[in-house]
Amino acid sequence: MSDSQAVTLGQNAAAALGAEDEAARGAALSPQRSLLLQAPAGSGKTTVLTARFLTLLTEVEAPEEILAITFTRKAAAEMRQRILAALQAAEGARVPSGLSAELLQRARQRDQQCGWQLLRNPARLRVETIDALNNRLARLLPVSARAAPGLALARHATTLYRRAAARTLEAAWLEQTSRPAAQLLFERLDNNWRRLQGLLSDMLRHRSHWLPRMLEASGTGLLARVHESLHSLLADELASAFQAVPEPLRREGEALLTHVQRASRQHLPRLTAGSESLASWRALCALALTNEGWRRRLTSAEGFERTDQPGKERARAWIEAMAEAGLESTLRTLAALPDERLTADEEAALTALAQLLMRAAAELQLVFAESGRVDYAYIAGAARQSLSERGAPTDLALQLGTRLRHILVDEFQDTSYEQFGLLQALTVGWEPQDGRTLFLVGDPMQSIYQFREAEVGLFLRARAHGVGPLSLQPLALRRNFRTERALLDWINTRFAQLFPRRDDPRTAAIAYLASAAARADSLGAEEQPVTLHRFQVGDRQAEALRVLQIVRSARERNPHASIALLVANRDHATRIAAVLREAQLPLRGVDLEPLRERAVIRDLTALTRALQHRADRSAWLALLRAPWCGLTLAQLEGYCEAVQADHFEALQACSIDNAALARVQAALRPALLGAERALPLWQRVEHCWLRLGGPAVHHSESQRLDARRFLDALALHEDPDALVGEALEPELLDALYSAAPPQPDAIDIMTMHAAKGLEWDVVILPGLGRCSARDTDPLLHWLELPRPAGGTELLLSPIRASADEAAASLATYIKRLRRERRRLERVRLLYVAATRARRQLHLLGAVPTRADGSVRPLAGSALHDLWPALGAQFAALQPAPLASMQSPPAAAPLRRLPATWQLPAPPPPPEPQRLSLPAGLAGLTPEYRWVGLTARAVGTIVHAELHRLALAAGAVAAPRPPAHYARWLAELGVPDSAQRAALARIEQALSRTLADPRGRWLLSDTHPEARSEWRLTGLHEGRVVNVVFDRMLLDAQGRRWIVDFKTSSHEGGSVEQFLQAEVERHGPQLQRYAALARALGPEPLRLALYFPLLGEFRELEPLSPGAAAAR
Amino acid sequence: MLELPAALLAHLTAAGSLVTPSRQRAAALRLAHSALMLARGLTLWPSPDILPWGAWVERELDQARLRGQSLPRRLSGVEQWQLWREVVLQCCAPLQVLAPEGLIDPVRRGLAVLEDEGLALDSTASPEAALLLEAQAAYRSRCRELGVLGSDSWVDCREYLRPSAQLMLAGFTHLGAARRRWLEQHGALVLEEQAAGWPPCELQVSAHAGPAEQAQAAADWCAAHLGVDPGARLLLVVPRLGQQRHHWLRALSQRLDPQRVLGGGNDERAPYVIEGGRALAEHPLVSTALDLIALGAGRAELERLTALLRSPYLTAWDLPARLRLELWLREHGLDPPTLEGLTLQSSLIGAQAGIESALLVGALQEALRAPAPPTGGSWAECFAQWLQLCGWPGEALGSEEQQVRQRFDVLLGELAALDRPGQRLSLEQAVQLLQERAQREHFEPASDDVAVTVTASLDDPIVRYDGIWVAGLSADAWPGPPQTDALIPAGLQRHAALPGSTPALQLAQAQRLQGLWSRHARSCVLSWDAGEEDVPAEPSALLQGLAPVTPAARFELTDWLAALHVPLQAWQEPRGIAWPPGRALRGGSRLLELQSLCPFRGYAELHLGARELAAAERGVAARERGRILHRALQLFWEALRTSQALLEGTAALQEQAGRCAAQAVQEIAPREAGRLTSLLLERERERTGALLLRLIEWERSREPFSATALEAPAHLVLAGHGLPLRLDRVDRLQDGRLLVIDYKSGKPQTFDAHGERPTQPQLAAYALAVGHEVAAVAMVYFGGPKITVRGVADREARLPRLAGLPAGLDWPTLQAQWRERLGTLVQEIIDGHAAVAPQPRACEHCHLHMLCRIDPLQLEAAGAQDETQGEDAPEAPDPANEDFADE
Ligand code: SF4
Repeated sequence: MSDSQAVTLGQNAAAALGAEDEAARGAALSPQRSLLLQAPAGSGKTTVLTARFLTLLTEVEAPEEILAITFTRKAAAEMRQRILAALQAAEGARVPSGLSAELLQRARQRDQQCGWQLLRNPARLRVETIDALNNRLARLLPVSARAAPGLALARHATTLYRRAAARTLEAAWLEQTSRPAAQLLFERLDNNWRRLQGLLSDMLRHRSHWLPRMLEASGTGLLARVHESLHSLLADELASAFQAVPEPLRREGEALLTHVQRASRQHLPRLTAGSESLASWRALCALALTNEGWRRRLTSAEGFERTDQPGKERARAWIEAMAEAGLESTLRTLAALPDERLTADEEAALTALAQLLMRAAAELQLVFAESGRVDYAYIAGAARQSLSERGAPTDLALQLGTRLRHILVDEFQDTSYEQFGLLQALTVGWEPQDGRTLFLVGDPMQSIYQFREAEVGLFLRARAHGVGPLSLQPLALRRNFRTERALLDWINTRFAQLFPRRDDPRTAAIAYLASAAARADSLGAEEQPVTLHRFQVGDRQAEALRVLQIVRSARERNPHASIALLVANRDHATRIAAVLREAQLPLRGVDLEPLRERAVIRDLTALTRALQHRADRSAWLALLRAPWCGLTLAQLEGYCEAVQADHFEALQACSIDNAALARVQAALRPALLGAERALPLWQRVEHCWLRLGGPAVHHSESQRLDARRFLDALALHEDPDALVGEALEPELLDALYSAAPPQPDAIDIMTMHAAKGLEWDVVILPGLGRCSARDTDPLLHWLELPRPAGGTELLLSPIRASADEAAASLATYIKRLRRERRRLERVRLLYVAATRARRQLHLLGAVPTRADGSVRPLAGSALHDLWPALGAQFAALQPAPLASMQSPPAAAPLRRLPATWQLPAPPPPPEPQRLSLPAGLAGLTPEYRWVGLTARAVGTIVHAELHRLALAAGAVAAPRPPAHYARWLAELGVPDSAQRAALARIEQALSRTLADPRGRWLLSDTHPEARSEWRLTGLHEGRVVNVVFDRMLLDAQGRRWIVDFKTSSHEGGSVEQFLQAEVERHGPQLQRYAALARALGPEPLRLALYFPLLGEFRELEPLSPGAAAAR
Repeated sequence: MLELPAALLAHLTAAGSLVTPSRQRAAALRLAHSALMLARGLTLWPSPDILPWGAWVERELDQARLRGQSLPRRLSGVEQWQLWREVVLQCCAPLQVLAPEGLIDPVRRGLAVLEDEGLALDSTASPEAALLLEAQAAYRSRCRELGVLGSDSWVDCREYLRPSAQLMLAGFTHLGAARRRWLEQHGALVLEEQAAGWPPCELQVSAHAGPAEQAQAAADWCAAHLGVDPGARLLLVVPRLGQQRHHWLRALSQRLDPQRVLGGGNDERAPYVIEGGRALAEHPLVSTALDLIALGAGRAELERLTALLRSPYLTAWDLPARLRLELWLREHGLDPPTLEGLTLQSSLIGAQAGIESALLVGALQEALRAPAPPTGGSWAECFAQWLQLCGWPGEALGSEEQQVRQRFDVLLGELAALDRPGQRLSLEQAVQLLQERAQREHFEPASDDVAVTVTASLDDPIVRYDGIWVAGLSADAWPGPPQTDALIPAGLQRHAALPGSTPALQLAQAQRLQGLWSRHARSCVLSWDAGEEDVPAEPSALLQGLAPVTPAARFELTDWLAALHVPLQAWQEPRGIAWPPGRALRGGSRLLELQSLCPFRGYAELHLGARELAAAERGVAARERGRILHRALQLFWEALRTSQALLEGTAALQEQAGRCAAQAVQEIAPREAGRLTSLLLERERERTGALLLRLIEWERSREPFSATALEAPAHLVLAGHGLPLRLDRVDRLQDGRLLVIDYKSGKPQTFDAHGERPTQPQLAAYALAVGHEVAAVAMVYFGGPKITVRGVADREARLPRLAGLPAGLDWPTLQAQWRERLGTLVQEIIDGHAAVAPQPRACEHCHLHMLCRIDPLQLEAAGAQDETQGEDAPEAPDPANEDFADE
């Protein structure tokens, strides 16, 4: 059904909005003023930002003086692109809409005058996300930021939080002082270590919330702060209730309370604006309200005796008057107010928790330092720190080499306290009219990032009170260039009903601001701007088929119409995507379909887990049942009989006659036992995957892309050792989504959050009747509410005890307030989704008809939020006939490679020629053996000394004094304890050599030719090799000797046996020397090993060139 | 073939020394030299003297010693690092910098820049500048104290260095002004970039959707080059190699070396090399060694201990025993997670994981017992011995593993080199130093002459390549934002025009490099990609006007395998094999539950023993907590027997509850508990006592009863097959009928007494096992904020909040229905029925997705929560909670 109940803006109203818009756009370019611009959906704020940036360029001395902060990297890239396009356009191309040619000219001229060369050097434009800015600051000022360079940004910080949480809990138990706190919290959480660890690590993830506050107010200060906030909260609420309830009604209420309390002889204080009357207000609420609405039945429970008809009449009249005065929400707010003081239990628990949290934060620092990885929150803190070193703002200009004169912030409505603080720090010392400006742009109606700590109240605060000393002139854009008039009218009408009337920072409530359409009408007569579709609950198939119908008819009208499906939750799109795919429609899912349930990913997961753990039974069974092997259950059972713990061993021993099994075994062997053990995990997995024929099984392009995503994630994982067993999924797969290959005219499917900033002709919002996931309680209920003029209220309450049925009132209050904040944000999210449409909007949802015939949406669904504006229309619709498969979908058949399939050989790649191979591979060094440090040092010194002795003429050759060698040994790291023995060996080697005639002959300078430590390069068996001849000489007989010195010594066994073994070990090496040395001349070659420690000389027979080659 | 600049060749031929900025450039020059010698027909020639700057300084100092110059003891590389570490950490201590070790290299680099440029720094300029100067002063003073030469600085070593006309420097894109002056004063030559005089080649451009596609295109380009000229030498310059390494490794290995990938070798013979490598500590062989050492030093953590037990590098120890021990650790945790903890638990390990596992613990302990005179040298020897005794690194190491091992030995040796007279090194310090060094040192398998070199370095190539491909030149990266030194004030850097310190210099540098590449290659491609994320990117403006390169033939193993179009066999398997006749069914009522939830799951767990791999965690295991609770309840009701006893004074009951809780903990807890476990068990005792009291409170509101059976074994025959069960408790009620209670401490789940496939079928099974006297069966959840009862009774109020039968159904009919339905389940089990047919939400807590291969749509259908209940939908069924009384 189409919903055409929309109020069209009157001409005057539209004209007024147009004028306001015009004025705002003009004012936004003033380079002297700090401004806050509210820019609703479709108002073209990026153009305004670009224009302001260009204007500022004409003012500054260097482009780096302007800093533009965007919410995402994509937005930063787009903005930079727009600026560059504008500069380029100044050279003659078409002027982008919304920008003046004159402005472009000026900006371009400035660029040329100053020689910035922005088009060639666009990195000079400082357009970046706040994360990037933080990162830059922290890295540029490492000491001030207290974060050493080299700390990497963790991709998987959860592991770090969990580690810190576990250590905290352990330490808390083991240390006497913290044990009571640990006991208390364990008691609250039913001794559940895992849960407490999980909750604690969640708290660490969100520590930018609470840590600064805890640091500010440690110990009892924290309790005082909470009490102070409670006090001011109650004072505010009671004062406004006191104001809201007209005096006659208040008086009558008081009288009624006195009346009903006669029996109990209770005496409640009078209703005042002070917190002392809280109990009376609560009693008043209890009298007037039930859970559902205004009280109708009055009984003894409320204090009316059965016969007290006059009293009941009087009360009913009063309740009616209260209802008429529209006081329900006032009373509900009052009823939910917490006590003014925490209970002793709450205080104790909060103190214990604060102690534990501080400890956890400190542990996390240690874990960061150990792992060399930090999270975004840490970097943000470091950046803040760097800006306020020693309490005073650091002179950024001096350290960064540039002065910062203008800051532009996009999407300001989604700023967190942390980011707001950074902004304050960046602008410390700025003064109005000093030539420095702040320009904040955003739309509080589109604030949708509470889960990322966004606080829309900050927008309100900045609008009212500025940032730091800078006050901001508020401006608002009022024209919408995106949406058709009819659709925009509908949005204006409906969302004005859904948004609260007034802004309220406490509940993050934002009032609606209407826009006027700037586009001409172009909808055809048969095109309805808004259509509602109702289904029966659970009938996803009917919904999916309806989406298909919508898409088809939109494409019939315009084959290139852009279409998007926006969902609140990712899993709302599963069935629809399947149906659209089946209908052969191209889809483009943006981070939508989780990879984890894809068959290709399940197989890769099984493979990874199996390689990581040879006793991971589920993984190995899955591996063997996967299509590359496809064992039947019977075969699997047979295989299981062989398994002790080690599955690979079982696989090798398995007697099942199955060629596929042999194939799997061969494919895995290199990764588990062979050369691939040395490769990183991702490569081992990928190679096994290829050998198993993975891509032959999962051969579609999208499957290959999915596999690639998985392997890339594995490659980038910082701690692959942690990817074991069930941990792999949360560690690796949780954040991975499928990415379809790009196709023209694809239908976009994405979450409403991801759609921010985008637009389509047709927008379809399915699954509006479905509930979102429930929240779980955090360890600490936390709420920080901006005070209008700065500062915050801080409300904290620890998690309730597992068995604690009585609602802790502050916790309940916080939860209720948070629920309300979330509800309002959901409405804003729906606004964001609806305003993505240019021409048509479809809303699809299932609404149950209750037993009493009423039609009401499920609590927690988007329709529930939309109901005040759309309830009547939805209720009037007949649900689409049931289309769901009545029985669950049948299991698809399994698939497998034929058992006899063999991996073919790939086409041969080009075979490059190589001059040389690494020494180890070329077999040029003998088999490696561990040589103790001392032995190595002795070898080094003896070689160096023999070289020296050979260079010095024999006559003066003598060992140096022992002190010399002692120093040398120390330099080489030989410990004191080993020095004496080492010295003895050196002395022995040198003196033996010098005493040995053969040794003297070797070192003699009387040979016709002699070289020592001679470095040569040459060709050996087709490879270039580098060698060092310890000694080469031509003797008097004209023989060429190549001698290698060996300082190894023998232990146990006979000397002769030792020498023989050494000759065998080093023989091949010497033969290679011989082969090379033939190029030195025609002289007959002799080879020898000389052992200075033993004074022994062993000659080897050089092989003839032919024999050497044969070997 | 690589080509050398003529001037450089002349210098080398005249036995001159050539100094390069890096080891890699030195290697490339040596190769180019060899190629030339071979081309000249030589087979042996004196090795050319080409070495990086640092090695030249070291050699000069050696020469000075040989010349007889008296120079102080020179610190080795690792000693310098250690001394710098000491002073930087000391200077950082008051600054509270996180991970101050990260400043060691920046401090050294910063000081080197200052020296090279001859710049003076003002310590008040910034905290960073102050740190630099303080560290420099401290380092010098430490060197003086020790009487050593910290040869880090060429300025400090100047008096021992002898540059001369024999020395030539090449490839220094920026040589600091001061160093250049000093070298030139001594006659050394600096080869200018243009000196080679090669003509520039035409630059071409290539655009790609992402870094993976870019790497693939470059690999294809390499293959095409090598196809034409097998002797070609190609250089791939990838500035963001650190983040993109895997793309390049994948593309090159699959394109240039597919046989090895499919044949299962490692990279050592690969025709390409990617500079940089992994940190040594990340190599599994080294991480095993470090874990072993940490274990010996009492610093292991549970997760590392489990990694150690799975390691392939401990072949001396029986792998199955290690794996059993690992599984044991996952199930039970370990307190403390050290060798001591293992020893403490070894009898339990022996009893449960097998005697070999316990022996393994003994052997480990034996191997790691070491006498330790506390110096670096003695620790090094000691660690080496430990490792050897533990059988590390096992047999049959490949060449790369051999090299890694050698590098690790060098690290151990370095530890020894840190000893100074009189200085002691604690075990803790020694282990930490070793770990730090292993983290810092990067291992790159030795390679000599390869066809393709991938580098992140923007250095002057010096030699001329057949082709150069430069990747990642998108608008935001080329030229990139200024790259300033983090410790030297930016203003000073700009003033001295240090490379990269201003945008203009960055632009000039980019333009210069493009020129350089075009002159140092016979063909040159500049490429860019649109990035990995959904962020729009543009080519650098510096690529404007370049001709696009013709793409080379593409080959990738994945695509090639996919294109084989292997016909897959479709098959279906709704059942496995029947349960062998005569073999008893295991698993009690849980078996029924699993089968009811999903036949496949029942089959997988019963027939295949599929089970979740436990996560190694601290705390008391959930299973143990459940057992303690059940046992305490048993003891309690054994003592009380009737509800009459509940009327006794609360104090007495409390005391009784406390006693039972204490006894249960004592019986079930590990005999030897570590300190943490002892404390937690004490808390568990308190919790158990408190839960008992809650239950007592609740039981007081019941009609009178007596507990007739506690933890009682029962036997149920269904479809002709016996099923052993264990009943938590059976109460006789006032009217003489029986009530079966199943205790639950988890979250309440749904119970549907009438379903075709009953949820919680154990209740029905208990009812049938107890026989005709039974009047009610109930699960009592008492762990949550309120006591919840789920079950069914022949009439209302058998238990508070326990529903009676719906109208139109009588108790015998219900029992008959149950018998029939449970009989069907048992028959399914016996027949081996294994269809993938989950009940609603059964998959949510199931670990078998990989094995059952459930279709995503089927999963979605099963996962649809009961939408009519909206936010109030109950918990998804989770049969794996801790209350499994039948086992
Ligand atoms: S995941 Fe679902 S279908 Fe698969 S075995 Fe488990 S319960 Fe059955």
